[in-house]
Amino acid sequence: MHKPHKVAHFCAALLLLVYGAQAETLVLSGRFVAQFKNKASISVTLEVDVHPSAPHSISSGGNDGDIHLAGRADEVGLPLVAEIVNARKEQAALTLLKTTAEGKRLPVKGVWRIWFEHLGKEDQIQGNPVDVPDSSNPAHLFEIHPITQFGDDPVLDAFTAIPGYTAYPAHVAFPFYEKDQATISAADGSVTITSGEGKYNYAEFVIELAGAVQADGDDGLFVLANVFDTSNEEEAITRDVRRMVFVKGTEAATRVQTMSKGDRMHVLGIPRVNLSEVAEMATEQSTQTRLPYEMIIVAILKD
Amino acid sequence: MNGANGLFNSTTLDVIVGLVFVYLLLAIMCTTINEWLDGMLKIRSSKLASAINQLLDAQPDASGNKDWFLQQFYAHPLITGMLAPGKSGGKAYPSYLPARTFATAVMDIATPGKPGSIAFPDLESGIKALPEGDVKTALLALIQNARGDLGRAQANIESWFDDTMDRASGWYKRRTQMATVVIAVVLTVAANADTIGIVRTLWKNPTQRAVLVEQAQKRSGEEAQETVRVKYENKDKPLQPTSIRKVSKDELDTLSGVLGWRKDTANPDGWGWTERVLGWFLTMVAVSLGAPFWFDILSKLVNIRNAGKKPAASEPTPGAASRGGPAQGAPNAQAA
Repeated sequence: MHKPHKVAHFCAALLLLVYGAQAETLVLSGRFVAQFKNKASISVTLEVDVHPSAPHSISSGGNDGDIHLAGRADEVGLPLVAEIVNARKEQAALTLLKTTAEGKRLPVKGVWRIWFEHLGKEDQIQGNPVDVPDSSNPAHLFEIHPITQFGDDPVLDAFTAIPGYTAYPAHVAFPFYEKDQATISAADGSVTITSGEGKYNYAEFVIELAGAVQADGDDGLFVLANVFDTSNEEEAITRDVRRMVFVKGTEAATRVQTMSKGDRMHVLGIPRVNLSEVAEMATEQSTQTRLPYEMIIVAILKD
Repeated sequence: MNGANGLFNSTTLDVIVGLVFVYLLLAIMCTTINEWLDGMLKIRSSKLASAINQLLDAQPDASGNKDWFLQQFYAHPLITGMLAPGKSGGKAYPSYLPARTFATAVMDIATPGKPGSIAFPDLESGIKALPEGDVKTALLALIQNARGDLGRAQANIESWFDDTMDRASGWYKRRTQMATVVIAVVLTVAANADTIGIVRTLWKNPTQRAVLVEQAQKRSGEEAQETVRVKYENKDKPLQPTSIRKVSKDELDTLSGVLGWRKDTANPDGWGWTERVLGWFLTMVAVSLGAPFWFDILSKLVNIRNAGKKPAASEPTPGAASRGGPAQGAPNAQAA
């Protein structure tokens, strides 16, 4: 009686092995998924463990001008990293971070982000004890990225184009997002996602609204949109509409609230797992699928 | 078109593809019915409730109320906050409870005279003050090796809960597997999904075989790589995606050619019934393996089929170069 499930899981694991050399499993509590699947942000009390003294340099790829800090938060219960985008613009937050001693707790709010980018060697299970990280970028699948409030300082001004940064063009990033594979299942109040290594943190693309903007009851706005590459604004680069996530108070959120179906905006965005779609897919029988994702809109870019 | 020999000559492979496709569709139906029943009967939350009852019942208070501790637990604000409104106006049990919440509520109930923060001696004296009962005995055993550390005591209580949940999880899995088998049996017999009969039909009927293979290729192709897809039916409601885990009408129509009770085959002779029951049994076992398993197999078979496909005779072959590599070229061209 146990064999059918074992065989199915074995096949799913085998498929993942074929699709990508390295994969990791994230087990989330069903309650967490239900609470945050349709929310842009999360508020936590972050115990700051390790942080660098200066933001990343700015050019392309990982040199994106962010500053990130590793810490722990009971509200998350997973290894996590929090990042301030465009950190040089947020001197007050930078000063606060630099003067924050190891182990100090700070209120932090920001966009939650699950992305299989910094894989480790062990499964990450929400609620299990989290080791104190030994670097500012430990193995983690959960991020608060971008931070919207650090301590008492709102850092929404950072949600603008990063001067001097070249993001991944849509025709490079989106084909990867669209094909990234995952195995998803639910059991005993938990949701399990297994996926290979994700990449392409910052992508530049054009969105065309496919419907109305809907608020999440907190600081988030969601809208479905078609996605285009800047070099070909005739043909959508995604196979279906994608969900876009905005944070109220940012330039992009203010603009999108004035837009209607069919309007377009040239943006900078970061991918994250779409937990709303994950929740829909997750059943007792594991599902082999494309990793559901949505885009966090960080900035409006000039045409 | 057909190769003369070998396992993977076209006819053999197409029959296998067709059969696997039928298994896949039946397995999807089986999963859908199982999920529907699960939601209707609230199986998961009732399993959790019975596991909690097992942990916390038989602990009276001083007045002799037998399940006092259990009642206090369900009345605790940490727990009432997790109860969903039930259809009949009462509260529905949650289908998930974090170990930390369980332990916090239990420790709070055991230390009624100590609101706010507590220390290990508070917990120990609170437990000792409980009347004799199962919960008292269990909690005393759990704090015994905590060596005066409140955090360790809480971790032990969380482990106690987790261990029970592991067992509850085992019950739930066994129930799901049993339900899958029962649904597979009902579905197989209702649809007369006799593996031997299906193979015979596909072998003898090239038209039926071709139709099934075509649908199988669609199902495993670029446009439908999942057994479940998520759609936003209303583009103005991005917070309400819906999953599509269904068998399409075209696919159902295709199945009608190989499944069902037809007059000409409804009443076979004695050996015919033996063969049919054996065919049903094979189908039930196959369907119990689940849709992801059969989807994986189907994808691989379709890839093999496409890789081995010869160019159609009517296709012009303009040069020697193109004649040199049809096997590699065909699937790539389709994917592009």
